Amino acid sequence: MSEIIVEKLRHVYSAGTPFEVAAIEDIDLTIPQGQLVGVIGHTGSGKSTFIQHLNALLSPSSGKIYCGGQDINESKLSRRDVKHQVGLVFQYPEYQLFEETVYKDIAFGPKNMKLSQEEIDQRVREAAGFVGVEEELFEKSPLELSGGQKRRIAIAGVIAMRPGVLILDEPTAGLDPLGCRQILDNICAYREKTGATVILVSHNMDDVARIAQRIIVFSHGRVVMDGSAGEVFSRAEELIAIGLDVPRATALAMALKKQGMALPDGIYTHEQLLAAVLENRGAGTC
Amino acid sequence: MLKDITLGQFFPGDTIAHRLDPRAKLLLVVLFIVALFQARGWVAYGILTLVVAVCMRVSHISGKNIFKGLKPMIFIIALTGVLNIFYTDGTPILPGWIITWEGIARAIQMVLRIVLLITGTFLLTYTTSPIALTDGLELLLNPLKKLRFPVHEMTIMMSMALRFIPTLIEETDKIMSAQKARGADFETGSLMERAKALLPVLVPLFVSAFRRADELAVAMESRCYHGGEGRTRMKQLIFAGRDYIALALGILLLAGIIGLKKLGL
Amino acid sequence: MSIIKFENVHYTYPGDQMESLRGVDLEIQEGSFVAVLGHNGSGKSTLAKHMNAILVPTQGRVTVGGIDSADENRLIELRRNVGMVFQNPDNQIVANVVEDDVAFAPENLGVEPAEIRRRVDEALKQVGMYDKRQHAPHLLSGGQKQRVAIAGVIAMEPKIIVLDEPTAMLDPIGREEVISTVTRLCREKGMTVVLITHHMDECVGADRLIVMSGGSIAADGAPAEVFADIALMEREGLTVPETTRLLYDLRQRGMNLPLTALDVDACAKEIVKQLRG
Repeated sequence: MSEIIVEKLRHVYSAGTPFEVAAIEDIDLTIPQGQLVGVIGHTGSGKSTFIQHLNALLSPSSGKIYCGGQDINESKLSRRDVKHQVGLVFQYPEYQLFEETVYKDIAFGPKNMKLSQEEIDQRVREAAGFVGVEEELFEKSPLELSGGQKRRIAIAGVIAMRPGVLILDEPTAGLDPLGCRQILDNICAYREKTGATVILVSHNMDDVARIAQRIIVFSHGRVVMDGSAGEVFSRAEELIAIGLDVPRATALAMALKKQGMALPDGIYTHEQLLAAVLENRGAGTC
Repeated sequence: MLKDITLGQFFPGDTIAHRLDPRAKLLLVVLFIVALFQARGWVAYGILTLVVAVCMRVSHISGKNIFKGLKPMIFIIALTGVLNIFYTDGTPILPGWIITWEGIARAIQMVLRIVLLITGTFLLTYTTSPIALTDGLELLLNPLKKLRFPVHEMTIMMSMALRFIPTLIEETDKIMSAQKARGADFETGSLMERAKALLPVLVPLFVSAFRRADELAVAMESRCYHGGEGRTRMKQLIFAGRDYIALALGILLLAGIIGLKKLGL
Repeated sequence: MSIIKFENVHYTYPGDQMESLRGVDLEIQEGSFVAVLGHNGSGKSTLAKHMNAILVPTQGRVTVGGIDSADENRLIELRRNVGMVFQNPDNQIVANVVEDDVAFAPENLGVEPAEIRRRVDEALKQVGMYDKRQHAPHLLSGGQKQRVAIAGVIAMEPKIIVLDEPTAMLDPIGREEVISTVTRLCREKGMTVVLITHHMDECVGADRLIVMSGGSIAADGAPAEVFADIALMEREGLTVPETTRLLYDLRQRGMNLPLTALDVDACAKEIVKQLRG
């Protein structure tokens, strides 16, 4: 459906000049439909460049990208269409709201897809429902609302296109813990209901650890790790060495191991940590 | 993409032209422009062209760079030349022709004048950073404060505008990408359609600009900003020997050109 | 010695129905590092803005460094003593060159040029940005910009710095840079630091933690104590440090552990010590 295949992707800035720099290279990935992927990497590691290739905002310097079996860079038309299939929510999306009313802003995407009025209306309501934007707000100006509400409206604006793949760049940036949890819950619910692939770029390791089925780690333009949360976070020292955070439970597990406690690798949630410590107590090992 | 636009075309360097006080350079440009409009004969134009060539050499600015800067003005330059060739009275170059010798001479001189004018100004912006320019301008205009002219306010507005140009360009880029991701199309369609398509970019940009201005104002007041009164400056512009010499040369040039005018050269 | 004093402070934003601050009484000691936590809308930012007279109480009184914040005649005098750093790194930097921006405050205060130079260099060294003093701000990272903003504020040589969610827009590296800088300013230079945040891991090094809720102070004490009140933290929609959480859960299961070890290594040591008997 919207399976993504990336082949030998390379993107170079200022090609042919002495300032030439490869933002990303040698990227080979397959992301099956419906997967929830976390993408992590230090600032400048290429993750932003990478995600902008998936909806053809950027074109590869070399390599190919397929979505649902089709080469997305084949033609101007395919580049345009893939933006309806792969939705991208940028950081601080609330800064892009522009319409007079909330309804119209959410409708912007579907309108650009040249859908019928009824279809647009249906999608707007559906999308608003997914992120918890109530109907009472539809006729209000988005600029009057709170930051959290604005963000949800912006996300709804992308979901309204019914993309098979939803990419979110730091969707919880600047939100308080409650706001973070709500947005992530909404995203997970959306995925469950629609079967969409979700790609989450984040610096928040605890968020990623909690919900991602698969984690891809970028460093200096390349993919350096690709696996489940357990696999990736068992290489905590490596992650720290490339300038990344680790989930808080992982950091505490590392400190405990340093003090001599025997703990299994790949701890990344509080529950796992608690269970492991209690086992040590039970077994009398330390 | 949009980040590639450089404003003012400042090329950092360490030539004597770079080291001159910006006020001296600003005054020199004024003197040069006045001299340019006083020039009448070939000798005068010749000297002015030579002066510009020497300045280019001294500032390590190549002809290629100047030419790049002149490109946008090609139309006006060509138009000037054409108008002067066809509409000057005098002796026709060939009997019955409209084009006169005087016409050709005038066309060359007028084209030269525009080119020298633009080149002279470019030399200023190539060798002086925008901040130095605004600093220099503020100090030169200071005496106008006595006439209640808001010199300080204007200067701080200019320098803050310069500070935010790259930031605003980056923001525009981001907003455009975000709207493109929602299917916005900025490339196809008639002029009207494309203008309308810019609304999703301009509105957020404006909103953000106002919010930015608000936050900046609070930040500035928190740092005890209260207008221009009582403000001191960390960086002082001080005239050095070379600035006086340069100005003297500039005044000599102007005097010389006026003298040549009187002599009909 | 208390340097900031709130006496029964109430504040309502113009046009709002509800009060944003409801009778806050607070005293902050000179040289202390106070963290203020709270979910969005709890009043923590409003509290911060009262500390340098951006906002003035609708009822009650705020005194900073001995000056009443409502005294319009002494506004500049008050503000030169309280440096304020805001959330958006870009919207605080006014000049085209780092060192020119840091000079902005002393220039406003009419300080002598040579003295400004000294203060600017000193401030930039304090925040570790001296080697970038001639850079253009837009080329810096978020963390670097915030450090420049901090330098710009300490160039006024204030006794107090208030930071209103300074790390909200930064990545983890930027956050670490900012927090370690202000911690150092407090511990080494004796500055009073008030840090408004909703990241609880930034509060671990503070002397005192205040939790704001609905315009009032819901908790006030040493970080370890406040975090230990897990019920309160959850009620306020705040997260608890993993260390406190683990210690608490282990305690619930019979292990005799203090809840005070907030630091990851200290916590690990405590647990292992207990297990080894």
